[in-house]
Amino acid sequence: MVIKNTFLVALKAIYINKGRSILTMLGVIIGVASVVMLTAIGNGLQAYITDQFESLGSNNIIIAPGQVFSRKSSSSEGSSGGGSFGDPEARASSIANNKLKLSYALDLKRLREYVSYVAYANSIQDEASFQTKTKTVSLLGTNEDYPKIFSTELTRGVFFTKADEQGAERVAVLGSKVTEELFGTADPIGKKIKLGNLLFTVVGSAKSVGGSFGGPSFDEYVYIPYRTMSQVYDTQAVLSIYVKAKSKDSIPATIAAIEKELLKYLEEDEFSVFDQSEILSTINDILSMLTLGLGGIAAISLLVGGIGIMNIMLVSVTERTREIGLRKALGATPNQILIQFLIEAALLSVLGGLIGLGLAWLGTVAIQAVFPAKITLDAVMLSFGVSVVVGLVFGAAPASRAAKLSPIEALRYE
Amino acid sequence: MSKAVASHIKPLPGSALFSGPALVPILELKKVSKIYQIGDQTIRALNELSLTIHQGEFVAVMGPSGSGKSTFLQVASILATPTGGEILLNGKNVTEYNEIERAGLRNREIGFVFQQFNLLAKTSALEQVALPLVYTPGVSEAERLERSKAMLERFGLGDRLKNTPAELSGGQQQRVAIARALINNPSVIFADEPTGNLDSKSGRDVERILTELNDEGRTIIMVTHSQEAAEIAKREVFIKDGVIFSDKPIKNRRFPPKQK
Repeated sequence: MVIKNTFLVALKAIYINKGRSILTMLGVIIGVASVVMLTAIGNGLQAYITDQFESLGSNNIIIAPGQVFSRKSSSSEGSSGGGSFGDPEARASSIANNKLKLSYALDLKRLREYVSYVAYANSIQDEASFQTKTKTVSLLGTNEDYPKIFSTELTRGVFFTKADEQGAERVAVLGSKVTEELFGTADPIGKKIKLGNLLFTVVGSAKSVGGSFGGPSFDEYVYIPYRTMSQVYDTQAVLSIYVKAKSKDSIPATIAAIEKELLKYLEEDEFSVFDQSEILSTINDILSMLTLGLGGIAAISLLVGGIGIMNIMLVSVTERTREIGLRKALGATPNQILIQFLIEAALLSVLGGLIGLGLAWLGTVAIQAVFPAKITLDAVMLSFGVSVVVGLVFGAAPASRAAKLSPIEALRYE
Repeated sequence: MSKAVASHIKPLPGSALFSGPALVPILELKKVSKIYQIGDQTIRALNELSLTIHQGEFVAVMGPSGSGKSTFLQVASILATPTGGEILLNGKNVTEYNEIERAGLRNREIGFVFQQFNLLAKTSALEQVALPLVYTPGVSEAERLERSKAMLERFGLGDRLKNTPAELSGGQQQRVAIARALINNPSVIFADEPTGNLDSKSGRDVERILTELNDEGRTIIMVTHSQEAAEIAKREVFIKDGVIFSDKPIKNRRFPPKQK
């Protein structure tokens, strides 16, 4: 009963000093809101990237020119993940000295024991136009296996066929944004668009899939047969080869087989073979560090908020010295005074924490319109828990000071 | 007096006080000393002071500045602990009580009326009066407020329940403070210059209330430096240099005019 009364007394003291209480809580509000929001952004980004990778299909193996990852030991570490992206300069020069060839990709098709599909790709930027509308697009020259590897779904039409690719036909599959910008809601199938100076027949239109990683969105791609691109743009380059392994378990063995095959023509440092999980794991490692760093910086504001509470509580104890003396004269024990001030400090931080969580929720909902963000229970529990502990720890010194005040001295205080 | 208040006032041991022989000691100070050490200086504020106050007495404690009368008030009201001697309240030696027991004693047995009123800012009269009951175990909020309301009504503040000190006159504030002092039906009321901060009319009102309370059988110990204020009491104890200089009944007792 007395504890309940003490709690009500503390609540009333906060209510009476509304303005000051809100200002005191501000530190905790900002602290909790920023910890929760920043970790929400970090976690959201991580979840988004994972989703994107998963939507690209599973069991995919990528072969790229040069050294993509700095190798730790053997290149056949498989999908254990980790590692870091290689030196950017070395990577740039390895792309310039790209030695991947179409024939290697065709050779990989023979590894039937491991491989389901093999796609090869080259990419060039150009303008696509239909009637009066023009859009800069990324042209991806590839083969019929590409949609099978990357689970590319079409809303209209079909992907071009093996015959289209081998016959270097002028056909194109449009990304959803390209379709939208050139054709609006009209059906593009069978229409002729201009790529560069040549006309291509649209055979398919892809479903919207969202962004790619750093590069243009997949929705802004125009897929054309590889051999058509080679002829039209006079290039033999293969920027990457994509392989779908038979199963997840066979990925390491497939990577080993691919490496063995490629080493027949290339040096060890002239190509990289890795699976999607390896990229994902590296990105996730970076994002986790980033989230932790951002959360840590935000946590400093929580600490500052705690110091703010201590400061105000000390002022409050001094200002309310006579009140403390009176309460003691009227029968409050030192413990009841201690608890009253501790509850006050804890309530300030708990209320601040709750408001902070509310703001973080609102902020996250607002951010979600433009950026993936995801509030996690861990971040909520941690920041809220920290704010309560901060309130209690920083409230302890002023509360103990209040409890120790002599009632006579306190009553005399001017 | 309303029924609610009457039910909380302890029964008096008959009219013993006024008939003479069976005086019941309520507060006894036996050779009480209070020594302060300030740097190298030792200040003997109370020097083996002995005094017995009986149920129903109205004692004015007087003395010049620095005489020890304030220290007497603090020690006798269990706010401060004596350096030596014994204090008996209702026959119990409370000298060795720990801080929690002393707080409980102040809560249940002692009522305070201060010169500065000592009301909490931004707090309603109703809550001011109920404040001691917050620290009394077993009193529900409803009972607290009911008793507080009845007490305020008794002092003519029934229409001021929700008012904060800033919305009350000095006299009204002191009446709220007196209501607060009485809420737990204490054995002794300590009043420290209760009219010192009031205009003469409000002062008379407070004097009248104190006289009436004493007439009901309440024990009141009033510390004052004013001879005039002391004249409403029945007994005058004069302290000087930490000892009792004189202790005598007040012959020409002044009775504040009754409220019209």
